[in-house]
Amino acid sequence: MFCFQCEQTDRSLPLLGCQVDHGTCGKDETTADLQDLLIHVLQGVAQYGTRARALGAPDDAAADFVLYAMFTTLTNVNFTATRFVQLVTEAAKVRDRVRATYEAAAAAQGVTAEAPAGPAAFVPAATMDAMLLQAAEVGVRAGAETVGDDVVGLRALVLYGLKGVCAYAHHAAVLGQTDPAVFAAVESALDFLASAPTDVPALLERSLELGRVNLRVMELLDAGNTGTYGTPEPTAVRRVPLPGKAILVSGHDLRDLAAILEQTKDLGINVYTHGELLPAHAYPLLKAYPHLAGNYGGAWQDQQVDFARFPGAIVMTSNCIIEPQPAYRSRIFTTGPVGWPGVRHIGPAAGSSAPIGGHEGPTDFRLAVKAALALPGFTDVDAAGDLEPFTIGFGRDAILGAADAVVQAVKDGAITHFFLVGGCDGAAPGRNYYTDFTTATPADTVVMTLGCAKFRFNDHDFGTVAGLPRLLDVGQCNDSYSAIKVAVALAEAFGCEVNDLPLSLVLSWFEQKAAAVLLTLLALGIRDIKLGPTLPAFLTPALVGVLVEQFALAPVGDPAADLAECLA
Amino acid sequence: MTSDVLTDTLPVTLTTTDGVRIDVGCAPGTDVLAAAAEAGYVLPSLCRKGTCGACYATVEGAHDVGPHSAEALPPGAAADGGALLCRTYPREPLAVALRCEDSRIIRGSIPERGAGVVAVEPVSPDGRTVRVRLHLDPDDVSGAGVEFEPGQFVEVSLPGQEPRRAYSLANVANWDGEVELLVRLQPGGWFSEVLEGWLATGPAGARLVVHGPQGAFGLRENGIRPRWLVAGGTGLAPLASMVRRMAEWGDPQPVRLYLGVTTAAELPDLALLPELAEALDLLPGAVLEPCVWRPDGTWTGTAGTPVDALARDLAVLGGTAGPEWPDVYVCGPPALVDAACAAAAAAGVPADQVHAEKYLPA
Repeated sequence: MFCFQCEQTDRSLPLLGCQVDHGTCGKDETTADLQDLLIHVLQGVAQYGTRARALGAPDDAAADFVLYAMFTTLTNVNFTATRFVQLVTEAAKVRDRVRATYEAAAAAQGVTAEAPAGPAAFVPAATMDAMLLQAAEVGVRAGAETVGDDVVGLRALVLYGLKGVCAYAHHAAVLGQTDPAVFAAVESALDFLASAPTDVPALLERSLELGRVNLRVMELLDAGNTGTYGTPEPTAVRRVPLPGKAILVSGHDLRDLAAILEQTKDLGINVYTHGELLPAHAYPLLKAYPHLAGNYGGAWQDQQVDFARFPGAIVMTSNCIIEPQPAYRSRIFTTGPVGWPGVRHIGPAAGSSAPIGGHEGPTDFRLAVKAALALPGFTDVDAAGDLEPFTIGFGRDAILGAADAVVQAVKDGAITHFFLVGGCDGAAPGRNYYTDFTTATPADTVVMTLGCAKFRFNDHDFGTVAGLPRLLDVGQCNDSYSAIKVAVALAEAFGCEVNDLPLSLVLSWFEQKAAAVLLTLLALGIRDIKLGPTLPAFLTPALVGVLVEQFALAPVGDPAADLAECLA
Repeated sequence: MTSDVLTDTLPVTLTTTDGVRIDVGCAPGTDVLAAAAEAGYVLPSLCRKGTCGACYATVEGAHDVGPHSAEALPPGAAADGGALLCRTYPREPLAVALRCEDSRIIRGSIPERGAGVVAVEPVSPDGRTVRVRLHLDPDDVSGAGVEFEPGQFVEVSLPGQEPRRAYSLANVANWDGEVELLVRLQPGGWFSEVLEGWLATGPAGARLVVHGPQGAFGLRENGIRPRWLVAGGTGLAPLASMVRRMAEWGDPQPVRLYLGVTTAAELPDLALLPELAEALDLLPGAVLEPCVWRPDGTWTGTAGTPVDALARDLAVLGGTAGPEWPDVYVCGPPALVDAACAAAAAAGVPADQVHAEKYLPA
């Protein structure tokens, strides 16, 4: 195996990346290699997909499958080798269907159909053992000795950014929000990768193009979330459990949470959010369910402790799962793109004709509901904690609703600076940086946050400034869209560019959704972003040099020094 | 004194099939199984006296071997490093390769739960194979549910009494606390007589204590190659559990189930095991082949043992180009298990694709 797609990749060897037995994430070599093979076959789907679309014969169902299949390969999503054997086989079938569509369209239009080389012509083996032999030829470092590490790194930047785009686009598609332009862009990017590109400027431009695509995707997802569940509003979220039966919902998927809330109505089960589902409490149509009881536990990397203590059923709806411990393995369920060997997956029943990765209608969570009813639930003792509630729900509407006051506060000098500190959390010790940084910000500054990085500091009492909470929780990582809208609106109010605002972006990355968001910010021309806790291992020193030169991107350093620099 | 004990205690490193390493110390005169239990790890095991083979593992390092049955540890296996951990006394530091995943090692002690007997129902024409259905009392950990992996077993005892009998679980994990066992009634058997009493009078108010789940036998998650299951008699139970689990989870592997009995009168009737019948219906292409070793004139199905049927199908497969060998799971009496393993090996099935559980007298 070779994998260096996430922040916690192995940096102990001369070649940075996980390459022995299993990854830091726990993914075994077999699964990692099969994921490489799946991406190879998906490139073949896109080679035909992009050509068919150009002839006016798009296969949006195939593109939708690509979104889902790409999502399964993100960090901490799916660890089930068997699932990838199926997905590789299915991807080849989808590819063949798209090829037939393309060739028929070409014939109908009197055009000579192309026969693209590479993944388009690849025939996956019938058995897992034989697939693993094939996978050895198609990993992310294939051809490295010829093209060099800079090209490998840029291809990785495109691929990983694209994975993030696909994940967000799948979330949006689940809520009924799709855009043929996004399908086209995803196919185009995979087709580009299938051509084994070596042109450095073209690779860089493609990365930024994906950043622009991702802005559109986050807009779609925002429309899906707010269009379905209402506009987030400031909300205090309980953190101490209530006595009684319980389900914990983790991941990012609001529709799964809504389905669970609907399916547990009047059953005496309380539903709790975990990690990145915390922002769900701010959506009017979700918080209208009286049994959406609160938020439980910390960020994803603490789940093995938090889940072991949770006395009910647990549903993992998207990234970020880590190895389920024996203490809760029987009561954790995966759904959607997520999987872990030996953990019950809630999806289509055996013999179902539903397409793989399909998302028609809400999922049936009756198994998790049954587990929650059978399990002990919280006792009065559990409910005796004294954790302060989180205050969340500062999406763009909430913040911009107070825009006049904010602008006036800046003009009066009551607010001197804004920080956007967000992204992913993780286990690395260096992530204390974000705690140290935010808690040291002066009392006349505002800290906006999003993603699960907030769990590093959102239990700190930041107080208020100019009548606003100093810590504004904008939402999930994909609510970067909301943060961008706020920044643009502030720039308009002050008659300046975003880069000229008294605003500093201090980001924390872990996986590929964050890579997509970073590309979006770079594509918007936003400069001086501080990124940590370490820079991606796939970016060579030369590539980092380019990003520093073009975007003044900088790695995080000493929190006090960085803070002083931001305020200078 | 303390330092003497420390000096005499020999380190034993246990490694599971999924690569988890557990270090325990083994004091003089203590077997590895007991040393692991003292350290808080209950390894898959049953009789703890060298006769059942449930604690079989591969051992590197000099050790003494206590009395045991040759069926549980054949001399040839011992020469290749095979050992029964309940009969393994280290003479030097040992490295033990366990046959199970880490999840099959119980931390602490074997769980015990009370259970009400819901039903005892004959499922074979001769009435001597019975399905025993239990309802477990809720506990603090699992609540009302019961959690186990297909292939695992429990021991049952009467409340307040010592004797225990081990039976594989025939159903699947569930949140209702339901447990099913398949039992062949043995003349004069202690638990058989208990069951016959409940058969005669009905089990109203009858109670058992259930110890477990335990055991290392189970499905291996390793791709989508076919799974061929070979059962002898009530060796059907863990394999039925596997089939039901596969159907419930929507697993993609093609399944064949060879079910062997001596006479047709012993053959479990699928109409009386509706959950298994439904699972076989649900799994695309699943095949059940009953095999009667000593058929009378009315039997029209496969005559012979399930091993004969397995060998026949493996030979057909071996005649194809680049055969994809199935994973073979076997459960039943020792002679059947040995014969099935030998047939699989002779056909060319890789050894790591053959998984077996012997029903030995504990």
